[in-house]
Amino acid sequence: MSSGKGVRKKQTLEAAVRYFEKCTGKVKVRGNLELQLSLETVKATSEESGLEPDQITTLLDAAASGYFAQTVGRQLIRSLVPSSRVPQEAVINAISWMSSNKPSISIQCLLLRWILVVYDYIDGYDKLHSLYGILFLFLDSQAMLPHVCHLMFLLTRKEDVKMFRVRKLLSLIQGRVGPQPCLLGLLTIYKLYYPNLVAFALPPSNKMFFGSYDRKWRCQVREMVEKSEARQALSASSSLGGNAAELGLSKSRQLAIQAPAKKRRRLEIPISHSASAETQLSESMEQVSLSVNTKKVPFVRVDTFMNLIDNVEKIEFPSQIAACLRDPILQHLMAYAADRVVTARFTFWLQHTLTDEFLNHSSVNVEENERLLRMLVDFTDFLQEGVPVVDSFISSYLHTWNGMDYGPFILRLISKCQMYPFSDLNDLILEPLRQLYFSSSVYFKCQCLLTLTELLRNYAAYECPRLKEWSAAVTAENNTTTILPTDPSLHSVFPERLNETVQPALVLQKLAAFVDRLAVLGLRIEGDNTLLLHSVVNFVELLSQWNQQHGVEKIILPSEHLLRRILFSDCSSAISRLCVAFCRYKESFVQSSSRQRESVSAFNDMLVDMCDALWRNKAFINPTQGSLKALSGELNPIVTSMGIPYPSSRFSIFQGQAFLPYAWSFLLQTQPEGKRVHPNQLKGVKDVYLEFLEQQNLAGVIRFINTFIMRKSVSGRNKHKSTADHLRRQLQRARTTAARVRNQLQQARATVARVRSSIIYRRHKQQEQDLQQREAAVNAHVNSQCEQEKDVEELRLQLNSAQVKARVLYRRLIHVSHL
Amino acid sequence: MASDDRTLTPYNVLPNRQEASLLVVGAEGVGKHDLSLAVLKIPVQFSLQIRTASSLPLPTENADLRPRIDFICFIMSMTDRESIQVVEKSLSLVDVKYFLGRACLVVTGVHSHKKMTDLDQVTALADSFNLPLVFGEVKSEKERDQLARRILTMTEVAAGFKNHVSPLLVESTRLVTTS
Repeated sequence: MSSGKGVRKKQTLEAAVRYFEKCTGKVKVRGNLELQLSLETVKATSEESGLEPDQITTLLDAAASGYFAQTVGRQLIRSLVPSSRVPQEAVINAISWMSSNKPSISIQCLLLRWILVVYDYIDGYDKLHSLYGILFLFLDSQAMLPHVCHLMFLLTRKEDVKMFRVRKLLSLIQGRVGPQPCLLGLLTIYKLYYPNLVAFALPPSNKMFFGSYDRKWRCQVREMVEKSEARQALSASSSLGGNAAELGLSKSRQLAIQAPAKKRRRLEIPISHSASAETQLSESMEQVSLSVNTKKVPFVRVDTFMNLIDNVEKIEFPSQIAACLRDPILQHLMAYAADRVVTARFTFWLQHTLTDEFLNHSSVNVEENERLLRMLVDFTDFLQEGVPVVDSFISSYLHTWNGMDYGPFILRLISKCQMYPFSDLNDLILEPLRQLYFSSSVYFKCQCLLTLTELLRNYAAYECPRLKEWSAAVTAENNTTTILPTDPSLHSVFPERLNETVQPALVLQKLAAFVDRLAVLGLRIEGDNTLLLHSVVNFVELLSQWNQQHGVEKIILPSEHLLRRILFSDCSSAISRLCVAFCRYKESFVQSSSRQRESVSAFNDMLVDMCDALWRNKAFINPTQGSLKALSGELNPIVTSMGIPYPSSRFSIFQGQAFLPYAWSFLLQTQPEGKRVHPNQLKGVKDVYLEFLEQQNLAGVIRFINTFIMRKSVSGRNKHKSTADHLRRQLQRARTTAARVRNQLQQARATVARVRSSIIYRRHKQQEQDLQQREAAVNAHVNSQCEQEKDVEELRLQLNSAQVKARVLYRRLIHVSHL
Repeated sequence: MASDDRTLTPYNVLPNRQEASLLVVGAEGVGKHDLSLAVLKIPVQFSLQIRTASSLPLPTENADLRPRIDFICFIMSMTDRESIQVVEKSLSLVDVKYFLGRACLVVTGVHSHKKMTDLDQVTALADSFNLPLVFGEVKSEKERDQLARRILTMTEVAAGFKNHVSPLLVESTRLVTTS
C-alpha cells in the first residue's frame, strides 16, 4: 500500500519537475492550477525526502530564470533541499543566472543564501572556486554584501589574494559601506595569507564576522541529508567495507569512511578534502606560490602515519581545517607544523561555531554540541595545551552558565585552560566558578575542586615548563643577539598566547591558595562531607607530589586551617592519605636543593600538630611547638571549659573519632569475651595495633609514624623476635666453643695415649705423677666441656619456648586479621 | 525618615533558629511563583517562608507581623524590559546590608532569541550592587529545580543554618584584583 503511494508520488514529482522544465516564457500565476499543484508536490517532496541532484539543477534553473513570479521562485528555492548531495553544476548555474541579472535582487540574495546553506554538501568546489573573480564583483551590491563575503570567506585560497582585491575591500570599508563585520572578516583572511598586502589595522573584536542566517533552513537540510545517509548506510554497509578494502586504503582511513555515515554529517564538522587535489592547479600554482617551490602533497592522499612522516614538510592542509578535530593524523600534522595560518583558520572556525551554537542561541541540538565539546576535550588532550579561543569562549560562557548544561565538558575544558596572569584568570574563570561553588550542591563542589586540582596539575606539568623554556629561549636570544629570531611556534601550537608577563610560580602559588580557601569554607559549609573531604585530599596530594613529579621548585603547603579540617575529621582514610602526603613533603624537602626556610618551619609546625594529635596525646596543649603554639594560652581554658575529659587525646589513633571503631574491633577480637574494653588497653600493644591498622588499609598512618616518630622501646612481638635472635646467636657461639673444646679433648686424649705408652717403657714414678696430674687436668677440662654442653641444651630449650611464644602471638594476629 | 521606613533592613527583627524567610521580587510574568514553589518542594530541616512581591517597597500594613527577611532574590527576564526596570527601582529600596551576600539576581532567558536588553547592561547593574548573578530558566523543570536549589543554599547560608558560615565569610573568599 505504502509503496504504491510512494510510486504515485514519485510520478507526480517527475511530472512536476517536467512542468517546470518545459516552461520557457512568462507564466501566469493567478488561476494556474498546474503550477500550483506542481509547486505543492515539489514542496511536499522536499520536506519529506529531499530532491535528487538532477531535479535540483532543473528546479534551480526554473526558479532563477525569472519566468515565474517572485513568490513562486522564492518558494522553489526554499524547497531545494538535497537528499544527499548538491551538484556543483547547479551552484554554477545559480551564479550565472545571478550574473545575467534576470532574477530580481531579492531572488539573487536568496540564491546566495541557498549556496551558503548547502555549502557543505556540494559535490565539488573546483568550478565554483574558478568563479571567485565573478563573485567578487557582487560586492558592489549592498543587499548581497554579507552573503557574498561569507561565501568568499569560505572559498578564499592563498592564490586568490591579490592587491587589487585588497584595495577594493579597503575602499569599501573606508567608503560608503563602512567597516562592516563581514568585510572585516574577509579582509582578515586576506591578511592572514599576505600580511604585507593588507596594511590596515584590523580592530580586534569578539563579534562574529558573519551573522547566522537561515538556521531553520540549515537544520532542515542537515536532517534530510542525515536521514538519507542513514538509509544508504543501512543498505550499503556491507558492500562499502569491501570496496574500501579493494581501494587499498589504510586502516584508519577505512575507519573514517566506515564510521557510521550518520555521525559523520551530524556535527557539521567537515571531512577533510583538499583544494589542490580538486582544482589540479599545478601550473597556475607555480605562478602564485612565492615561497614554496616544492610541490604540495594534498592531505587527502596521506593515508598512513608513515606516509605522513615521509611528506611532513610539504603537505597541504585540507580546505576545512576543522576536520582536524576528528582526524588523528591531521592532529599530528597540526601539532608538528604549528603553522600560523592554519591555527588562525582553526581559531576562526572554532570561534564562529562556538559563539553561534552556545552563546547566541539556546541549545537546540544538545547532543551535537556535546559531541563538539568532547572532540575539543580530546583535541586539547592530544595537544597538551589549551586552545586560546576555547578559553575565551569558556570565560564568556561561564559568565552565564547555570552550572548544569554540558557540565562535565565545560569543567574538563576549564582544567585544560592556558596560563594567564592570575588577575585575568581570577576575573574570567575563578570568580564565576566561585559563585557557582558556594551556591551549588556538594557534588558540584567536589567536581569544582577536582577541576581546579586538574587545572593546577595541568599548569605544573605542561604550562610551567613551556613558559620556562620560552622565556629561557627569549633571554638566550637577547644575550647572544643572534639574527635568527626565536620562533614561538617551537614552543606552542598557538604561539600568540605565549605571554612573558606571566610568572608561572606566582600563578601556581596564588591559585593553590585560592583552591585552599574554597576547600576550607566548602568543608565547613557541607559539614566535612566525606566525598568533599577526599576531593580536598586529592588537592593536598597534588601539592605534595608536584615538586618531585613535575619539578615545581617552590614547595607549597596547604594552609593550617585545611590541615586541621582534615586532621580532625572523622574519616580515617582521608587522614591516612594526609599522612602519606606529609611523608612525600618530607622527601621533597630533603631532596630540594634550594633552602626554603619559611616553608620548612611552617611544615615542621604542621608536623608537630599531626604528631601531637595522632600519637602523643598532646593536641592543643603543646605550648612550645606547632601551629597553635601562640594560641595555646587562650586555647587551654576553652578546651578545659568544654568539660570533655582528656581533650588532648581525643584525636589520637587510639581514641580519635576516626579511629575508635578500629580500636574497638581490635580489642574485641583480641580480648577474652565479656571483658570490658577501653582504648587505654592498647598502650601495651601499640605495635600489634599498628599492624592491625595496616591490615585495615590505613598504611599511611603507619608510614607516617615510622617516618616521623622515634620509637624508644621495642615491645610485643618485636621483643620476642629479638630475644629469639639473641638466643640463636648465643647458641651458635656455644656450639663453636663446644667444637673447639672437643678438638682440644681429642688432642689431649691422643697425648694421653702417647704418654701411657711411654709409661709402659719407662715406668717412671715422677712421670707417672706427672701423667696423673695431666689426666686430672684433662678431666677437669672435660667436665667443663660437659657443663658447657648442658648450657647449650638449656639455651636451646629457651629458644624453643621463645619460638613457641612468637608463634602463638603470630597465630593470634592471623586470627585477628581473619576476623 | 519617610525613606527609612520604606527601606527593607535585615536586622529589624530578631532571628529565629527554626525559621528562615526568603523574599522573591520580580515583575509579573517572570515566573517567581513557579520558582518559589520549586524551592518549597525541597525538603529542609527548618521552616522556610517565601514571600513574593512584584515590586518594592512592601506594603506598610502588617509590617510589624512580617518576619525577618533573610535573603532577597530579585528575578528578571532578559526578554522583558519592564522586569529590569522593576528590579532597578526595587534595588534602591533595600538596605545596603543585603548586598553583602544576602541577595542575588536571577536572570532568565539569557540564551533566548528575543532578548530585549544587552547582557552588559545586566552585568553592570549586578556589579554596581555587588549582586551575584544566577542564570537559568524557570520554564524547564530541570533547570528550575537547579535554580531553586541554588537559591535555597544561599538562603541557608544567609540564615546561618550552614554550620554558622555567614555570607560575609563566603564573600571573603572573593579576590578583587586591582587591574
